[in-house]
Amino acid sequence: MAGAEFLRLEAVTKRYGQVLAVDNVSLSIERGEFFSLLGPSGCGKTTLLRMIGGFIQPDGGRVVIDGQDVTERPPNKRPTNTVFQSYAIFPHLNVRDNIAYGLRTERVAKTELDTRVDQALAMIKLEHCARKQSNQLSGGERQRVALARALVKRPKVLLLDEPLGALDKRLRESMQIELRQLQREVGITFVFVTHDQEEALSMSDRIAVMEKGKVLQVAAPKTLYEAPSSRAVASFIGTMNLFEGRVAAVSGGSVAVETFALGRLEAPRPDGASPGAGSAVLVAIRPESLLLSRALQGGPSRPCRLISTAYFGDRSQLQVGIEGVAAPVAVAVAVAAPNAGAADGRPFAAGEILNLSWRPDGIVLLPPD
Amino acid sequence: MTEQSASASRGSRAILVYAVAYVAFLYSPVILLPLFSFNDSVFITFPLSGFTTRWYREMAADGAMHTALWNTIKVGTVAALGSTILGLLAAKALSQGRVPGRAALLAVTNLPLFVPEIVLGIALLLLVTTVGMPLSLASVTIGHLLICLPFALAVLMARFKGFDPSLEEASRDLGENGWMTFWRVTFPLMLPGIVSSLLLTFIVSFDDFMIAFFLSGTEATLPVYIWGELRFPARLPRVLALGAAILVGSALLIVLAEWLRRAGAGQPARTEA
Repeated sequence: MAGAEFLRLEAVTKRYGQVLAVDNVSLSIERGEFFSLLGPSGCGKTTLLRMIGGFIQPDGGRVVIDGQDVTERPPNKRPTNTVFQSYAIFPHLNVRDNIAYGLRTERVAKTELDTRVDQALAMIKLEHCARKQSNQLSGGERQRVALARALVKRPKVLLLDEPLGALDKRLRESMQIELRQLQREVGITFVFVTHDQEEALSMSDRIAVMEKGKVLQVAAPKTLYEAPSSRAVASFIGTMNLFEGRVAAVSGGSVAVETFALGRLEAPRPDGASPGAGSAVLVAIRPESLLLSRALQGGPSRPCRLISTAYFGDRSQLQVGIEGVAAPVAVAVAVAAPNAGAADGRPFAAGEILNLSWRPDGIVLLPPD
Repeated sequence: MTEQSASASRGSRAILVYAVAYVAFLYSPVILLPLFSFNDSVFITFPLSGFTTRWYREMAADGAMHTALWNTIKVGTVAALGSTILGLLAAKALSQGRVPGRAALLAVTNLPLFVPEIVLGIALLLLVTTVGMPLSLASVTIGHLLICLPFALAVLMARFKGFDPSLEEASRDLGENGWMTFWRVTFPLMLPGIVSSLLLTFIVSFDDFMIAFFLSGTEATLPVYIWGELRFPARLPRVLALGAAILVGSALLIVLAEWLRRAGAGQPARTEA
């Protein structure tokens, strides 16, 4: 299904008093795509979503859906439907009437209406709840009813405003899988707002990372994680170690960088314009690209002191300090594949002096800011 | 332990005595009304002299009283409907919209609650005569709209407080325009508040003497009529009969309203037709 551009935002801007909630945002979303707007609260992601849905008028810019400019249209005249954060299930109607609400506005014939509502109930596996009122439903059930009520309208774009935020962790994880599956089945373009980076990474085809009303980067989850374009994106998604450095030399596919913390290291040359020799850069390394060992390994390494260990079950995260560097460095240790040095069965002890080394292909160079 | 429970039961007995005294104080005047309305004497004194339905027969034959009652019902109905509609619009705007000077607006609408009614009555009389409007039921109705509005607003604002505005957004999102959204979502959810507001404002209007006294001219409402009747002792018992009848009527009305409210809340809302 994915392919051509389907939903386009052109230089959309919204201002509240002195605050630019959405600052000149342009986005292009493809047909059938699961697209997430990710950012901390107050970054403008919900405002942007509400402008696509027609609940907020942009001060400038255009919203184009399937070739039609809908900027001036009210919500009821747009080919979009929304799953609200609070779900907004009508409390005076039962589940069945909630789902049928939008079809009644279309004056759908009764037999077709019944069929479509039945299908929607089957889709969310709540046939047995058809006559229940909203206050008799659990959080997960309410979420599904909100989803069915929106999808039964067969919108061109489904807008989801943090729909899993109110659910507990287990339910949220199973709903993530369910939602992703459902999206593949119905093939409708989803625009999904979340502040949970793991949720965005695991569900989306592409993610737009937002901060202070601006889009920082739009990319697939893997790209976003492995090749963030800026310090802000790198530190918002997962844990990232950042070191300041200066380019010493550029040669072919790699860049030599002189850093205070890790000494001289070789990094893969970034796509696009490479930083010139002498320019300042940020060296970004994910914890899982860092290695700790007792014995000195071949290749560059740095002595460090273990500060603390946090155990997460499937992996541990260790904090180490490098002399002269203020911020501690995080090192991930997967329990199933322990780091060199811990393999001798003796776990690292806090305060122990260790060797920190890194995988050269795990290094990303970012512009300084 | 035993001392504690003893003092607790002494405490609860005191509360019981207080409660009985309280209810007696509240309702004994109300009991006197139907009691004397069946008493076979023009004089309102104990001991009672015998049972009669004469006052009710007189009441039923009293044309002027009927006119006054009918006037009151007309004024009350229009004032209740008008103030509830205005209150609904104002409450919606004040609780959901971005209204500049919201606090000041609320204070101004609530002003009639705090201004003594006699002042309000004189002020309205001045206004009505200044603009050259004849004193009539219409001028009474306008006055009643003014004093009913704060009550309607208070009831409806409270109801809107628990109203999730995203329900209206969801309706718009599902394809309904503003008017149909009001009709399919806002109105049914506000209905208990609307019924309360209608009842309360009707009673406020029905009950009002001061405003009606100043503004009614020759068309008396019931309280104004009753006040006039007090000059004739012989007609007092039939006023008592009327009072008792109104008492029974309003009790029935409240029971009915409560029953409707419970029926609406308990039972699942309509399924598809």
